[in-house]
Amino acid sequence: MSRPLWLALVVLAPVLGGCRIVSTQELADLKNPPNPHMANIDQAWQQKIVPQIVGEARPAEELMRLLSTASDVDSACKQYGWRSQDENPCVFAVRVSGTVEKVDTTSRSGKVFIKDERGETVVVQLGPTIRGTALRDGYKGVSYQDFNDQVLFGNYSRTINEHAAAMMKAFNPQPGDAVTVDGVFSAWDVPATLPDVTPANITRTQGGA
Amino acid sequence: MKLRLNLLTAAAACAFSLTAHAADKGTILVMVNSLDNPYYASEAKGATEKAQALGYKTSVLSHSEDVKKQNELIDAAIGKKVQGIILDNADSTASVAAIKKAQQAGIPVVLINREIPVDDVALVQITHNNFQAGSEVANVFVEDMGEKGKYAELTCNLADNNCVTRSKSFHQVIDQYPDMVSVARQDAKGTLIDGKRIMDSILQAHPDVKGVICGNGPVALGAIAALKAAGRTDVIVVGIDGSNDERDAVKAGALKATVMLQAQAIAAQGVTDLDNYLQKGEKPAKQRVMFRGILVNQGNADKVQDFNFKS
Repeated sequence: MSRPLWLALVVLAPVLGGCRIVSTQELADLKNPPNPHMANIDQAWQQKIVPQIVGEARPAEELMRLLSTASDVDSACKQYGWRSQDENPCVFAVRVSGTVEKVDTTSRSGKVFIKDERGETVVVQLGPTIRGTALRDGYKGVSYQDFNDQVLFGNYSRTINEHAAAMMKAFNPQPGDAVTVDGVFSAWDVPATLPDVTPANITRTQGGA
Repeated sequence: MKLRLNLLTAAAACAFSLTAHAADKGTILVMVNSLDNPYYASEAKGATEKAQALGYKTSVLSHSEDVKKQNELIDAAIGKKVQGIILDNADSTASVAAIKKAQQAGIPVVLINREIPVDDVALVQITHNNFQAGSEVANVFVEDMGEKGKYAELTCNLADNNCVTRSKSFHQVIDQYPDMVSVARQDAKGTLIDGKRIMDSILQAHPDVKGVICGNGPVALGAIAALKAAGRTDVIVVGIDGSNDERDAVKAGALKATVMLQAQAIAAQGVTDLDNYLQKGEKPAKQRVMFRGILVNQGNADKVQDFNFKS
């Protein structure tokens, strides 16, 4: 064997030894690894997002009373809400118990109107199109840092919203139903009335409200 | 006369110089796309005012979306040993090398508006949540369209990743409504003139168009000019940016809604982060920070002034 060929083999051997053939999909995944949060979104919805909101939800009457005494939205947010970064609105978790007055499905952004224990009507998003990003922004398990891609972060929110819409569709609320909804809303200022709620959990209440 | 004018100019320059040098911490280079566009001019204004308030001199330049020019200006800034750079970059991927070069020369770079796809090269990347901005105007658009009808989309500049993101978010919302029918999607390159020209031709081809969703403010204003010239006051137009001209169009009812991007605020935040790093060695807690846009409609348009929102 000539000296140059021998040298070339010595140089190339470790390089060639490290090669392996991958499929087109594997190559795509190597270039853009799938985001683990997107991959585990079903599990996160069931085991983390919904339990977090249900665990933190304050009854509407209590939350609105606490908010009415807050000096400003920043202090209210620190005590009763969550904000993943300063530039975002605050997300509050709330529990609404009452009777379904009306279900409006004329728009794809359907709404359920619930007369709650305070005697006030609260609007809960029904879908199939759920607006906003409050469910994602209220979940403490992720932030934009975990995605570094606005489109992917937006898709993450949309998939969470789709879980909420599917839950509401399966529940199929009807006028007269006594229900309890745990959900979230976001606000830049201390709200005077309860803003539209994005649901994370809905149950029928025995005996009505 | 000429001599007198020269002396006056020199005196004015000295006065300016003395003010700017009051507590001299060195020079910060502020580089944006173009100083003619009110959005980029507001970024430059926000950065300059904050930097001067903190005791820096500033040098404001534009790269005109030209990566080569941007590289040359960064090379020159490295040569002049500026303290730091506030940059709205010319191209998200092609700018990485130039930013890395400044970093290796010990000059921290803070990115505003446009992100790059790698972390730990810039000191921090402060951007707008373009996806959220796009979703919010798209929601208004769909609602005002009654969730049905023919519409056109004029993108702002598909070479700019922010514009691509906005377009994707438009569609993430609109495509959920099966009765919304797209009749045209064209790139208006971010300018009023292209917006007007393309809208003119869309009106010719699709006189029954009910709405136009636009990727930025100048394009929306161009579309409005075309609609006005055609005597069409029935077409719904929305955009993104929130310049004073858009604010006035919202107040007049010609523009249904826009999202105001916080151009001055992100630039000022970038200077604050740079100052903390230069003076105290403190790095920002997060590599990427996203500012939200603010939905502007007739109810709050009065609060918009030079890309600042008076809450």
